[in-house]
Amino acid sequence: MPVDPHARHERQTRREAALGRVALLIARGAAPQVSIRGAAEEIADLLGGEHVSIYQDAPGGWLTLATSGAASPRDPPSIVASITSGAARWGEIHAGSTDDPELHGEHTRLVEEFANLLATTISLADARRDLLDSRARILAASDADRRRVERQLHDGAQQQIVTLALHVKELRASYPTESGLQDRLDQISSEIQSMLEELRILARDLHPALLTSDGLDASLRALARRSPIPVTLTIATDRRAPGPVELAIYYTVAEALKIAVQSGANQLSVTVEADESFFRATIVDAGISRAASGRGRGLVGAADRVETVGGTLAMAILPGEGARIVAEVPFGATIGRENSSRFEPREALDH
Amino acid sequence: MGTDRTRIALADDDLLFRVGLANLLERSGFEVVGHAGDGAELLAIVREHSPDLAVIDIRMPPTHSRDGLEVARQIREESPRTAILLLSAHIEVEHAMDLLASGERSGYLLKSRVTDVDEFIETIARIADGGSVVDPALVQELVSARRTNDPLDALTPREREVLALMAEGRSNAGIAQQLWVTEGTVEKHVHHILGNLRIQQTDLDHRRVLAVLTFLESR
Repeated sequence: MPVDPHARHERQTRREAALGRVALLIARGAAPQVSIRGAAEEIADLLGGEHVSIYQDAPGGWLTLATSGAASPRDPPSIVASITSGAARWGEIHAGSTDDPELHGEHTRLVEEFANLLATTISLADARRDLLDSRARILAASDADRRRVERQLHDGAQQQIVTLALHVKELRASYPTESGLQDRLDQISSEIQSMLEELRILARDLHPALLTSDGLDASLRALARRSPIPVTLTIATDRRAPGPVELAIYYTVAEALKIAVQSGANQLSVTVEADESFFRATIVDAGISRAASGRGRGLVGAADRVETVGGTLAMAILPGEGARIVAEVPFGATIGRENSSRFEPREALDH
Repeated sequence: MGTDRTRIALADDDLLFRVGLANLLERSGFEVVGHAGDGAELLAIVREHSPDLAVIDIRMPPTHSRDGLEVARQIREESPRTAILLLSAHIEVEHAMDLLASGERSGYLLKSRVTDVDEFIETIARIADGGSVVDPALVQELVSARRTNDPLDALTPREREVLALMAEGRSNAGIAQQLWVTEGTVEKHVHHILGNLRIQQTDLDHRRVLAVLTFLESR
C-alpha cells in the first residue's frame, strides 16, 4: 500500500495537538474524571469516530469512566491499552480501529500514549490525596498534643502547684507569729500566685478548652472579650460541626483578629453562619487600611487549617475600608480519621 | 443554730488537693462532712449529710470538661438548701451564667483563689449566708472588654468600680466597706448605675449578680 507522507505528517500533528490539550488539562489540576473524559473524546476524534471506552479496574468490578465516538463498541475491541498506577493495572482504554495494518499500528501507539498520560494524572491525584491525608493527620496529631498538654497543665501542673500553695499556707499557720518566717512564706505564696497566673494564660493560649466543652459561640465570645479592639460578633447558627472544622473557624477568627490589631484596624465584625451544606465565617475589619500586601501572610496557618478540612479561605482588600476574610467549610468534609472522638483517653494524666 | 459550724462537702479528682483543702477548711472552723473524687460520690455524700455548701471542681471524671456544672445542677434539684461553690482552672462567663441561673447561693471562682485563705474563707461565708459570688478576674474581663457604643462609657470611674463589686456579688454594705464610703453613697451609685444601664431593680443579691453579669456579657 502506498504511504502518503503528507497525510502521515498531518495525522502526527493532530495527535500531538490532542495529547497537548489533555496534558494541559492535567497540568492545570483538572479533576481526573475531567482529563479522562477529555482523553476519550480526543481519541475518538483521532480514530475517525471509532468507539472509545475508558474503564477503571475498581475493587467491586470494572467501572466505565468515559465513552466517546460510535455508539456500539467493536467486539472484541481492536485496541486495548493498560493504564497503570505504580506497578498495578489501574484501568484500560478500549478502542476500535481499521484493518489497515499501518494505520492500526499508528492507532495502537496513540492510544498507548493517552494511556500513559492518564496514568500520570491518576498518580498525581493519588499523591495529592495522600498529601492532604497526611497533612490532616499531622494537624490532628498536633491538635491532640496541644489539647493533651493544656489538660496536663490544668489538671496536672496547676493542680499540684495549688496544692503546694496550700501546704505553704498550712506551714505558715503552724508557726508562731514571732518566728519571722511568716513574711518569707507570704513571699513564697505570692510568687506561687504569679506562677499560677502565667500557667493559666499559657494553657489558655495552647488550646481553646471552651471550644471543646461549650462550642464555637462561647469560645468566640470569650475571644472577642479579650480583644484589644471592639469585635461585633454575630453567630447565626447553633449547629455543632466536627471538632477540626470548629477549630479551623476558631483559629481563622483568632488570626484575623491578630492581623487586624497589628494593621491598625479599630474594629472587627465577625459573622458565623451555616446552611445545609456549608459552615461560613466572614470577618471584616473596618478601619485604617494599611499596605495590603503583607496582610495575607498571617493567615497562612488559618488557610492551612481550613483547606485541611476541605474548605476554602479567601481574602479581599476593601478599598479605603479594610479587609474581608471568608472561610467556608463544607459539612461533608472528609477529615483525618483520628478526629472523630471528642474526648481522648487520659492515661497520660492518671498516675 | 449560732454555734453550728458550716458543713461542707468537697469534690475534686485530685486526692492531695481535696485533702489539703479539707484541712484548710477544718482549720478555719468549718466542718468537712466528706470529700469525693467525682460527681457520683459527691451526690452520695450530699444525700447522706445534706451539707450547707458543696465545693466542686468543674473538671472531673468522666468527661473532664464541665462535669462539675452538671453535678451542681443535680444537687440543686435534690438538695436546694445546699449552696454551691464551683472551682475552675480557667474562668468562663458561660459557666458562671449557667451556675447562677441554676439558683441562688452560688459561687464560681478560680481554683487558685483557695490559696488566699482569708479571702477564700470570707467568700465561702458570703455564699453560705445566701450571697452569690463570681470571680473578680471574670468581672474584670467583662468590665474591660472593649465595645463600640459602650453603655459603660456613661458611667464614672467610681460607678464602674461599684458595678464590678456588684457583679462580684457584694451587697451595698459590702461595697461601702470595700470603698470606704457610707452605705447611703453606695445606694446612690447603685441607683444611678441600674437606671443608666436599664438593669432591673431587685433586692435579691443573687438576682442582682445575674442581672449585672447578663448585662456585662451582652452590652
